[in-house]
Amino acid sequence: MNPEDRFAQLWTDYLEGELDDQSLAELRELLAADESRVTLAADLFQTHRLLGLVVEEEPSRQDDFVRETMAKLPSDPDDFVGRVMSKVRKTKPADADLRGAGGVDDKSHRPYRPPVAAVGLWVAAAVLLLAAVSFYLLPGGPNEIEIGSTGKPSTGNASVGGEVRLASSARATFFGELSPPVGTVLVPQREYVLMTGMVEVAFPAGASAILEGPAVFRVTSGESLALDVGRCSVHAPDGAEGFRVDTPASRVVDRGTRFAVSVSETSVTEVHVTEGAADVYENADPAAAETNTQTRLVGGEAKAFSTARGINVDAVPFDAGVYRDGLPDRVVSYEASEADGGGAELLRSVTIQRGGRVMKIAVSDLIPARLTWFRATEPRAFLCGSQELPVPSTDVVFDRSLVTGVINPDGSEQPLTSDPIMEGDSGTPGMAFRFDRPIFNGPGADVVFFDLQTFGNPIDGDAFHVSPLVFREGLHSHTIRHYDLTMESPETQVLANFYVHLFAQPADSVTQLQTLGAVQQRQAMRFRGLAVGIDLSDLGYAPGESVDGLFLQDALDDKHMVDPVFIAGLPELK
Amino acid sequence: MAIDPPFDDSQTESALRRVRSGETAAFETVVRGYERPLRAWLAAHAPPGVDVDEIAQRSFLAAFTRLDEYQPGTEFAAWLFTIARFQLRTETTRLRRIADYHARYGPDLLQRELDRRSDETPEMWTMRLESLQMCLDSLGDSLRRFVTWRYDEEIPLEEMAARCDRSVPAVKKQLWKVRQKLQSCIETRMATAKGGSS
Repeated sequence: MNPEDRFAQLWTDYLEGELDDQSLAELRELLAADESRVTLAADLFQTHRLLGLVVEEEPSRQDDFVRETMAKLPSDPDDFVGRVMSKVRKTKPADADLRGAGGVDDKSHRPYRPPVAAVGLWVAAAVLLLAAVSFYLLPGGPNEIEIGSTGKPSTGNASVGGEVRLASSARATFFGELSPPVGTVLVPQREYVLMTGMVEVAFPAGASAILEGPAVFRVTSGESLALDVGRCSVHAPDGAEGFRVDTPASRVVDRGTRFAVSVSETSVTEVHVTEGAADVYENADPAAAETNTQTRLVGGEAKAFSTARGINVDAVPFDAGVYRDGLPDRVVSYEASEADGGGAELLRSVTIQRGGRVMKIAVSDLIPARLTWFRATEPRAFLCGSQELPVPSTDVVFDRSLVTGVINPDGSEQPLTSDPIMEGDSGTPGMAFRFDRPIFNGPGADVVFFDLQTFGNPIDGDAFHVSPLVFREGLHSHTIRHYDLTMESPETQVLANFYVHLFAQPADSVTQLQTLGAVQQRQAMRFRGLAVGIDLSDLGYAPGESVDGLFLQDALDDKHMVDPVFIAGLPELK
Repeated sequence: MAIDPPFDDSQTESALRRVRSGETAAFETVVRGYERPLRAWLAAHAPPGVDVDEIAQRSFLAAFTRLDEYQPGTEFAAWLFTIARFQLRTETTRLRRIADYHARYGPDLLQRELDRRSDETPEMWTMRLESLQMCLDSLGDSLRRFVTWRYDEEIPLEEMAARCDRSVPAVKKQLWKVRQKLQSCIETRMATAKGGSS
């Protein structure tokens, strides 16, 4: 075998990890003998490494990388010790109360602060303990406990196996981190700062708590929650009695009930009991905690507890509206097929909460719509999809693909107050669509709407007005500025690649959209599929009233325009 | 949407300003914008045995924790890649301290050559990655399947041999041929691109 063939053989073996020590020595000699072999070896090594990278270039893997990196960002100087200790506590039985384990003062409910001189010892001990237990508990690395499996949309208790989980979320944004996906196991004792939106937390015994942002909370055990500020609504069904909420001023213990707890920035705690009973203990007095019932509240009662100048208990008017028995109706998630090159493409189903019920609707059960009017005043990209569009091209917005649509419609800063004009040169800028059969105004969303979005566009989605095709008294336009699934929602999917079709002149009719010449441009950036439900009640339609179609306009609130890629009516709710 | 420019410096600077003001989540924009070129650059310059994603993540974390050292308005990409270079050097040094590293992992001449190439710009490595993608598309099905088996499915050489009814040495030859062909294709595309942009 000549040296070059032998070099090829050895170098391939090297890249395949099959080189033994003797062959490695031989390879070194061959490299040392001819510099061009070193260059070739380095070229092939780099190509080999890039090949490893290029096959990984799926959107989901890129997302994993970003998510893992963000999860590793330090959020607090004490974060490391806190995380270590929270993992150490995992060695205790699942139903054991964590409050006495050293992380939180049992009585004051403030984070445990060891004496300064003891910090080093604490850290060293914690590291050793973590090293020991993580060998058994953390096969997937440090994030595995925090980021659990991506759960399915919740229709009930999402907590299994003794763990406290995020059961559902609605437009939730957390300070300094992305919202955890539904199903995530919440880390004990970790401080979660819910900035906006709502989350539902499910506990293993069956209790659930709905927290409303802004709120700061911690899961303190399998049957307790610490609420430093904000509001939560607790439902503890049979079997979950004894569930408690600790606030800076009090401990609220469930006695089989529904109750709401609000904690103000000055730590004043208001408790409203909607059903059953709850006992409230003075939290500032460790000796009194749970030894004597300080205050028992029953259904229809409310009181405020504060620690200013001693413990004060004041009666406050009971407000049934304070208790929230569920998250708002919304688009919860969706499923789509994956394109050959990666990314979501064809919509398969939409999961929506309507009238408090979570339901998964197959795309074939949605009510199709057709584009009936389009008018833009400036040249833009008006279509997106594959390089070659179907005929007629304007059907793309209502096919099942999430990367085809009639995009960048014109609009108006002021929403319509009268019928849109849909003929002639003075036609109303925007687009109109009609459903294949009338849709009926039921509880929650009646129309589902998907939008293309990328980083650099508004995080919450492109604002748009939706208006009746025919106005009458009581009907009005409705402006959507915040989608149900935004750029920050874990349920929002990365889309497949697509082309935009750039028009050199404004298209002022559906016909022009189909006939004007356009230049195709492949999108280099990855886009995501945002979604929002449109409730006909928001336009003034009466319950049960039928609607044939709607008019849509960009809100012209910024340089970004709405990009509808899928619009359909929802089937009537039986 | 389509009217927006791709990720640019102003977006980076805006995100970094938000991070400095305490909005940690804005750092995601930075990670998302630079993960691809950084991982490509690291993949091409990290010696065997180094986890590229680990170093990439460490680099982002170092950039995040040392953000007060970054001067707004200067080139963030250059600053980030300098950090990555140091992170890679630290890891390489650590590996070298392992007594049998060279015996197990490799020719020091390769390492020297990779070090020599480490000054090449990140943009060039993004271009190389894109060229490789296009070269892969142009690869015939018979060779392409070896790439899929080796890099995507990561199946053993023996199984690859069984699948294509060849010997293991024959499979190795095919892999050598595939890498050479792709390398040649990349060089041609890079040369064309340079000619086109000059």
